[in-house]
Amino acid sequence: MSNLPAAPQIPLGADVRAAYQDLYDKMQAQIDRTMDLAVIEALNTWQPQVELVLTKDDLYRLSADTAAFEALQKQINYTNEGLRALRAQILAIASHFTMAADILAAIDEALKLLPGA
Amino acid sequence: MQNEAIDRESGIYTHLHRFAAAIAIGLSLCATGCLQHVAKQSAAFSASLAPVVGQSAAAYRGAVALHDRRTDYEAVVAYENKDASYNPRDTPVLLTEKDIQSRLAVLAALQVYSKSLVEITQGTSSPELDAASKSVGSNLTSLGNDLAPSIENVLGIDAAAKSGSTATAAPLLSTEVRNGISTGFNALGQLLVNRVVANELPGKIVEMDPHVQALCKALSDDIAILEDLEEHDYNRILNLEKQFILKDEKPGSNADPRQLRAEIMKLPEIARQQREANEKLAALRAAIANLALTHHTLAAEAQHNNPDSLKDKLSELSGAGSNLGKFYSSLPAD
Repeated sequence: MSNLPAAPQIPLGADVRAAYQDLYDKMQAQIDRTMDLAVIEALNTWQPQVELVLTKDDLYRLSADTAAFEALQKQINYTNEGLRALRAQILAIASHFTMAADILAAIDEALKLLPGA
Repeated sequence: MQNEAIDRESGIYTHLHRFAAAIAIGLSLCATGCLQHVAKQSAAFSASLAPVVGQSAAAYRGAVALHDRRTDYEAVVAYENKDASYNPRDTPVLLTEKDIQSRLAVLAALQVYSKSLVEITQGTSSPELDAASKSVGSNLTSLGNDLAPSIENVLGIDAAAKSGSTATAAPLLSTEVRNGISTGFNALGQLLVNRVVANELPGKIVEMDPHVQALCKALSDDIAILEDLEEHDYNRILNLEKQFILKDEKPGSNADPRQLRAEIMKLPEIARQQREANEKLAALRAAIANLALTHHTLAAEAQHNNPDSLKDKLSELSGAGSNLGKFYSSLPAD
């Protein structure tokens, strides 16, 4: 039995897309509601990567070619790695985040549905 | 030869301006002989066609400019992060000039088509109008055949695939959609070139309906994608602007207070631009949906072959075509 995570379903399923969209929206809501530079810097680093997962999924749906497939796969791995780091970062300065619980839950949901590499 | 002409940046404009001029000449020639209401409709068309295309171009270029602005912000982030992989030459373009011209050609074709139907039913075609229609038709056909830019190149997938890159290019037209547009272009082009006579028109309208629906859907989907991209671009610009301001406000940063205030005042302005851009794109999508629906209703009437109701529906379609223009205005470029 291998412990390697299963390869992601590409294009992304509706539930996975919804999870990433929800995470994107929660990050945006938190950015809109804070004047804390540390929070904004942390979210500004990873929100665009979440956006890229959705964009590259769109690209794959449109072109359905190998390059788009690989680009999405690479993006999922990169983003999820970042989300794990962001998770730890949020826990370390949770008091700075007014929506820490919401964002953590959204990260967990995305990582559960699409673990990546 | 034709492809070279289409590749020219102003090719479509030149062509459409020529077409509008031909319509104007045609109108002046038949001013005494034509039915007044037809002249009125045609005059409205000739007056509205050129601005519509100009405004549409402004809308698409506005989206491109917004995306460029985002990439400028991303450049600052790259330098702050000392990201050695950042190269300004690699930044993808949202829509190339050719992409924009293709979209304008679809819009112009739909307008020409809706107005031409009215002209044909009234039997008022002038030699100039006939020549202009043939010219439009030929160009549409060749543009349809030429509308196949490599999606990978246009999207810059390779560049965007680089992990960490946040500069994205627009998802554009899939092969399937491009083929649909190409077929639609050809069908429209042939109809305009051949200038069917009135008694053939009901059948042609029914025949054209799937093409019109496909073209409208492609345009509508394209605009929906642009709406999403614009939302993300505006969010990113606002988020980075906020980050830069908070950094400058930190003790010891020695930022000029007047410059800082000016930066802060940019935020509501950007948010207003976002709202306006959203409204315009949503309205445009509604106008295209209305055009598709009106044509579909017209096709249903054409099947019943009732001349009176057909004329009414043609008039509605002509109006729906004109309305496309009202929603095309420049999106904020900066």
